[in-house]
Amino acid sequence: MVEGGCGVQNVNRVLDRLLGPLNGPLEPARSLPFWLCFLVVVTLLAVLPNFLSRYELLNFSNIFSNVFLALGLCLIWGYSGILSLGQSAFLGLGGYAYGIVGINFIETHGDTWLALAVGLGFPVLVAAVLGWIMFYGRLKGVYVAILMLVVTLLIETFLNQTAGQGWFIGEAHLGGNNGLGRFSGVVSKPPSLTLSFGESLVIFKGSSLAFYYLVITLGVVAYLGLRWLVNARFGQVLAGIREDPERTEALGYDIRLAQLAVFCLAALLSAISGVLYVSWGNFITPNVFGVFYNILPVIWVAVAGRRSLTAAALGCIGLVWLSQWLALQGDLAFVVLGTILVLAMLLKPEGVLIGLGEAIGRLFDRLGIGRNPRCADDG
Amino acid sequence: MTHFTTSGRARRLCAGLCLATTAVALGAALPAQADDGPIKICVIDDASGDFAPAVIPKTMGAALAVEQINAAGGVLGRELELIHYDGQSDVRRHQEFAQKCILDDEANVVMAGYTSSEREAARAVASENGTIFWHNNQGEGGIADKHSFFTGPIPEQQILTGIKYMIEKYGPKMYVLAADYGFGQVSALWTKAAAGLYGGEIVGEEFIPLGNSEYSSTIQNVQQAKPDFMVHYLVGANQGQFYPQAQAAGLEIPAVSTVNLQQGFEHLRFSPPALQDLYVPVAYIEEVGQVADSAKSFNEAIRAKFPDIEYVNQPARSAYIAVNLMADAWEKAGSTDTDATIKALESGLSFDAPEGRVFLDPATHHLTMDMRMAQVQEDHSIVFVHDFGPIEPWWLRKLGVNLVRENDGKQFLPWDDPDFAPYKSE
Amino acid sequence: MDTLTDVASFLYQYADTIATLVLSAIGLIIIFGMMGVINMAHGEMMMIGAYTTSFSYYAGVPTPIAIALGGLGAALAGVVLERLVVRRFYGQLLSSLVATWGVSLILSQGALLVFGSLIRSVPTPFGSIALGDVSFSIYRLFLFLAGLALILGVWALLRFTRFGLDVRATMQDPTMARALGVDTKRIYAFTFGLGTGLAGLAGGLLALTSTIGPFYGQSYTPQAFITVVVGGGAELISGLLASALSLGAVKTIFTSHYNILMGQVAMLVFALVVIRFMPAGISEWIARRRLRSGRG
Repeated sequence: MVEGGCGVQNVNRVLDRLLGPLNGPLEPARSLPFWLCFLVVVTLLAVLPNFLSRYELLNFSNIFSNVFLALGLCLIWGYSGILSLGQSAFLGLGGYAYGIVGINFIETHGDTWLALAVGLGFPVLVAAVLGWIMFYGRLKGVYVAILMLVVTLLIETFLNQTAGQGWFIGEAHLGGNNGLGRFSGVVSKPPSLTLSFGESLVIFKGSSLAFYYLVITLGVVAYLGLRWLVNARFGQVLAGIREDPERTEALGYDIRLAQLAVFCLAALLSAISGVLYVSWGNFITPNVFGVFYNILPVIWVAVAGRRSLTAAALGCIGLVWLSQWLALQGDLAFVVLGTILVLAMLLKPEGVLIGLGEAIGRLFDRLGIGRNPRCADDG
Repeated sequence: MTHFTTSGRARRLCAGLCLATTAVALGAALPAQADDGPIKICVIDDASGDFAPAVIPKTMGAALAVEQINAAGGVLGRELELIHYDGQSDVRRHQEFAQKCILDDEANVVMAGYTSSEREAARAVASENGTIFWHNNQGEGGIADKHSFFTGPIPEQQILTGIKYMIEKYGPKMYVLAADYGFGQVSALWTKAAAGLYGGEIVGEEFIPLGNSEYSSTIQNVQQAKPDFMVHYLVGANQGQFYPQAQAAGLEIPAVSTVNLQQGFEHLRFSPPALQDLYVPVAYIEEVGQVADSAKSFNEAIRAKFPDIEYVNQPARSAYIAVNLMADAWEKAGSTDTDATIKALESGLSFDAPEGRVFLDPATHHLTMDMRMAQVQEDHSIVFVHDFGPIEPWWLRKLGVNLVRENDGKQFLPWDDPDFAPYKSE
Repeated sequence: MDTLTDVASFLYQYADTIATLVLSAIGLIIIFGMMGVINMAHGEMMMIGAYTTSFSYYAGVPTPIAIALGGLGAALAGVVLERLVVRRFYGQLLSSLVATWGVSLILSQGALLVFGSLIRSVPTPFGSIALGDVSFSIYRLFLFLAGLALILGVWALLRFTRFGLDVRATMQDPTMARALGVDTKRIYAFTFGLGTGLAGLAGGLLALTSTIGPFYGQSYTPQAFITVVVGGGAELISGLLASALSLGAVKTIFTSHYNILMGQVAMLVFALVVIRFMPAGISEWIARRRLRSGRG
């Protein structure tokens, strides 16, 4: 058995070499069985629409579009040790910026490339300013979290009162609590992503197949890209900052710059979720800046396991689906969801999916598949 | 001791709704029903979260109507089926479940929304898919849309009547406190117009952010302005904190509100005399049963079906009316086809509502309804001090809206009306 | 409008704001500041206090005892919560956040399902006094004094009692404390119970001048966290005091000069500035100053 196990171990070593940083040690899910599962899941996702009703397709697109928010939070919290209680603020800023520019230019431009660029760029700009304030001010730990909470509450307070006649940005009326473009004048709803590629024009309506595949493709690319990033040199610096900032700095790394960069990247990921959300439903209200929506991603990532991008992505999808399903069952939903959260944290404080992954790993080890610790010794 | 006996109620309601919802979820797996299956009415009402207290009776109003109609043989020989989803006081849930109602359950009508943001979230989905939508709450008015219908009172029914009454009773000077969002801002503009129309004078105006719960500065500002009465557009539990604080600080100025009592039955929840001399122009509150027999029997019917209902509020009545009007329209149209149904809804339907006869105005999709002025007494009992009679939803028609002929598909606001120009705030 | 009234009215509003900040934050500062646990169910503890107060009051219990029962109820709930859940998360700030948020969901929606929404509020005692055009609620002034008294009480408890000594020892170095014979498990449970009890007491006190419902406490939670963080962890009590005084001043000045929105915005901006320039809170900044001037 040991021989066979080591044979598979060799396969794993080949896998490591082949995949490079994609399969680095900073992502726990990296065995051969995992990658096989990964391929199966991606294939399933690709053929899934054939088996879905129109509503299910729409709903899955909605659920999947949250993944970027979760990945971003996982990146800064799990990998870099920066918890933010205001990540949904970047989702909101991205959504609003995209919607405002989209409403103004969809007629003249015919597409939303500019809106997309602003929708992704503006939150990153805000993140850069906030990040500069926080990290160059040597802010740490829970203070970053609370500062971000304060920021998001400020934005919410401001946007809620923008229902008046004066709050137009070009054609787009901010609309206060009723939502962007839905209050004054002609209803000007934020457009769906409309992208021109040469001659052809693709409209990513929320209910369309195109939107579903866009979300899935972006999701896979973001996931793989982040895997690569966290295991590359930059990721190792981040891990160093998380474990011991002083030592990392003493080794000559500019930890402030690294923190700023990763914070901006996380904001970009949130903004992707924001643009997708607005494009999906053509609707956004200030509630995305509220406390509830800023705690949600923290819940997903913490329950699933913040030290793994895989866990964060799966946890996000699972919990968004679960809480929606629970809501359909009646008014006990919050009670049941709360119980699940408490139990999850009691049983697996490091994350349910990480715990599950370890259990599967142990099982495979016992069966002689996957990484055999005894083989690792001579490697 | 009555507080301790309430536990069973919630559980029973929950169990009932859970069962209904699960049954529906199972049913959804089957292929879409043919024309002889039940007619589906999808309501998205908050049974959890912040707004649940005011919204739970609303679901019961719809359920009562469905039960009565089914007992009388249904509509077009078909049963009505009520699908209820818990919107969880969450805008995003309203978006998601409106889609589920329309695309998955293929509901014939969607009724949703307590706050205006919840309403817009669900309404956006309904109008996108050409589904008939009802909002069964009072609101800021002005929505002119072929697929949208409204059963709650709107500014011309509440604000103009209420302000006129207060000026005549107490004098011209008023102080306006309004929640700082769409509903409050629009209501404040209507108040300015009402003041201009009836010889009133606004001596102070204050916008309160949603969620604010500290009122010591506001109370003193009001006292210093010495108004004859106050005008309140205070929304939600936090803004409700104004009342106990004002009473504690000895602020004894009568007030008119278009928000309180009729939804959140604050007069039962706040300890007397916090709301003494609050005037509310209402279409319905449970106490209308004191003056109208039809209201009394409505109260009895809903309490017989839901013995644990805390209060028969205006949303309960509004949802009840909406379901009944839909049933009439389907009968009249002879089918559940959307265009035919809208045509029937626009044919001049009326209904014997709990408070009196209501008429669905074809041109604006709002109701002509009886309005009454409720005054809260020292012990928080209610006296109806004035009967305004039926009041029409005339403002949209004044602007030339005629949805029978043309679908505007927008929300008109005071600044769209040139006659409001003198009263603009900005 | 004469100046005396203006001054009195400003001071009243200031006291009122401070009272709310102190009352909403005092339970949290024990739990967050001393134990390093983010208790997202803080608002629900205030809710439990308010509910218990209301139920007791309408069962015929005199008001002061009803409020005390509110504190006791929340303290008991806190001890149970600590035993069942929180104790697994010491030193794990963020796991405690998720677990207690779960608890918060269970308690608030559970309260709605079990008790419904007809929770009657308790009448405000004492009446009001008039000065010129304006009048003041005596009970709101009493709340200010009650807030100060609670701060003083907590300070004395930690400073002068055996329990306080054990608590401080346990929080500083649990292993050493255990070696010295302190039952740290019990101390943890008691401290958490003290924090939630204070939250419940605050909930009960505020219940006499507000409307209560299942989500009653949640509106206090964000400002409680902000107050605690602005105060900082170096010296809990002086930090809380400094934080409430400064945040309250900013809020009151901007509210009375402009409007409530500006008051809220100014308070949040001030909090941002403090967090940025005094990352460990005002209390640490004060402590450093004191240290420096002591040396110099």
